[in-house]
Amino acid sequence: MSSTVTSLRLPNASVGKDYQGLLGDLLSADGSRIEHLDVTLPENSGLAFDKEGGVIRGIPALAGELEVEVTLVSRATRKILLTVNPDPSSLWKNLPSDPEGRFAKPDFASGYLQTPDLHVIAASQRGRSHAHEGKYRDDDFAIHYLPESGWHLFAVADGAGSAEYSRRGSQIACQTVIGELTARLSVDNPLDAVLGDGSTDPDEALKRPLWDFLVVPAFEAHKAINREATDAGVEPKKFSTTLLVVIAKRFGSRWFHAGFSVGDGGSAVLDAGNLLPLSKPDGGEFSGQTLFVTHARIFEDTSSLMERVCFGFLPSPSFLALMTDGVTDPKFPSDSSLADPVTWEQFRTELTAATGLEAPSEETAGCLLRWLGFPSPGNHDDRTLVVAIPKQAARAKPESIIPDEQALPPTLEAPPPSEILVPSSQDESFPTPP
Amino acid sequence: MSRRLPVYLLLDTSGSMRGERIESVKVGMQALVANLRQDPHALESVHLSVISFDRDARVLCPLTALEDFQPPVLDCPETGATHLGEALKTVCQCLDNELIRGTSERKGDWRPLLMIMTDGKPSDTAEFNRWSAEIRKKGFASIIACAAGSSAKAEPLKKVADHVVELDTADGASLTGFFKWVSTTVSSGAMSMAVVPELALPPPPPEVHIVV
Repeated sequence: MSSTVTSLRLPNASVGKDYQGLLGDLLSADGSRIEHLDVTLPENSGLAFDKEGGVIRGIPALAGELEVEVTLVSRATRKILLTVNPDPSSLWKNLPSDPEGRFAKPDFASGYLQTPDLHVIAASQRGRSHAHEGKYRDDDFAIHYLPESGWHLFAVADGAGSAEYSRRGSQIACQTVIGELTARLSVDNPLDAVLGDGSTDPDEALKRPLWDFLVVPAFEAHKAINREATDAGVEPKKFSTTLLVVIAKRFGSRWFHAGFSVGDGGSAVLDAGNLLPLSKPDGGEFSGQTLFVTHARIFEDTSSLMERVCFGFLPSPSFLALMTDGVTDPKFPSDSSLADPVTWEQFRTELTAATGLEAPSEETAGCLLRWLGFPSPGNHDDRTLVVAIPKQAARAKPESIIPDEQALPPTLEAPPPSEILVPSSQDESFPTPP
Repeated sequence: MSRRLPVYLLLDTSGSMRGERIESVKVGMQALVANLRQDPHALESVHLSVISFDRDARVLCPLTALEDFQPPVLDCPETGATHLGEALKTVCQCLDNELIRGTSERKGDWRPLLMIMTDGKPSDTAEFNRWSAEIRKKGFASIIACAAGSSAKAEPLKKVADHVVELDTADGASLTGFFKWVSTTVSSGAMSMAVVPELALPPPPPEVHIVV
């Protein structure tokens, strides 16, 4: 055995993190006398030897296995190993997905919609995990406003990571549900009739219309996915996706919100210190296990389907949000926090400060998209967020309302590829995400 | 706080492993750790524990974050006993003490991984049978066992492992190749844990034959 004691190691370091390694303790434990004379460190390591303290300190610049040579009083030398971990954020690759692939869609999308009462901002960002491997964004969203009937429609969907075409599943789910709602929430629809008559306890009266207006559209999304899967010669479970839907309308001096959900993620509306949850997350024993709108058994049990519907009236909502678990996992870390108004208020404050939500405009969508790139160790899923903020006193001029067809994200109705829409000029102004 | 992926390495240090074989295991372990350090998913979640076994089982390294992990010294005593049963019992005890289970207030660990490497067959048969059954109830996402070299027996390992691999020889190249494959398996586990409940094995190198 050579005299170089290669088993001697300093505690590990990490690139970019302050480091302090006590040399004295290490050598004395080995039996050597600790009156070391000199220490040689590799060039450009970012580390230096503090002789008085017997400490190696600094901020490491290079990753790898460093050899530190210590010259003792006796002139003998010892080699000590120091492992420097790379900075994880430097290891993430960002590979674009294949635009020619089956069911290809853009790696990010955003949207902005202004209605007489609300600013609606939406953003959907491919997660680091998918970017690292050049995979597609599996999340999607849709936002829409019906000017004749005054209804706001919102949807987010998270395609299952293990399902090969879930990027298309989430797209179909959002577009189908918004299409169905658009057709049903016309002027003089039955839901408005119940809501508008000012009855003090509409809960029972609302059950039937909410079934027709929330559960059935979700079921239509389920069927639409099945149809497309069959046409494509593929099992529907390869399109597996979650789906969160919210509808909202102002009735005089109060707002009505209703939501339906299958899967994880979360949605709710805040009014001062009150929280009205609009979804009931489905979780499993292990993280990542949830239910999908493609699961037929969800729609077979009619008695439990209404339990997926949440609704209520609020006098003056200040903040509505729908998000996939790419956002709820880091921002609402425990199941209980998703039902906690304090956590939601903290989320709103953080978001407002970071993206300028107090004065929303078209640029806010770009800010939201950039914000969705926030670092969060262990949380690298696709992130999608739809937010609605009430307008302040001044009403928008009619011509500033964005036309309905531009409210939808730059995604397509259905193949064939020859009919794929080129992103509109509005989309080209969106900044490149980090 | 991100969720941990616990990985337990159970290494045979019986007499037959002395010399080149145990040196190769050391090199292999260093290769495994070096590979994992290049993976952003692994750097954030993998926690490693090293347990050696011969006549006794020793926890050389309790569950430690990858960024803090330093490969332990591996010694082979004189005797040839391979008490794998005792070793599995030790893994069970470590898991019970170390695993963080999820609650509504706190996210728990991902399902752990166990990698067993041996060049012989278990000499404590009764204990091995008992603890093989016990460890399979512990909820490991995957148990991979490696029978290294011509004296190693894959058959008993099928009782404990989901996947058994064979190395024709327990030489440096084979063992390093095997450990590199384990690092790819762990990496894909670290990447996919949030997404897929079962671990799919990546394709093995030529020296590694998957038996089960």
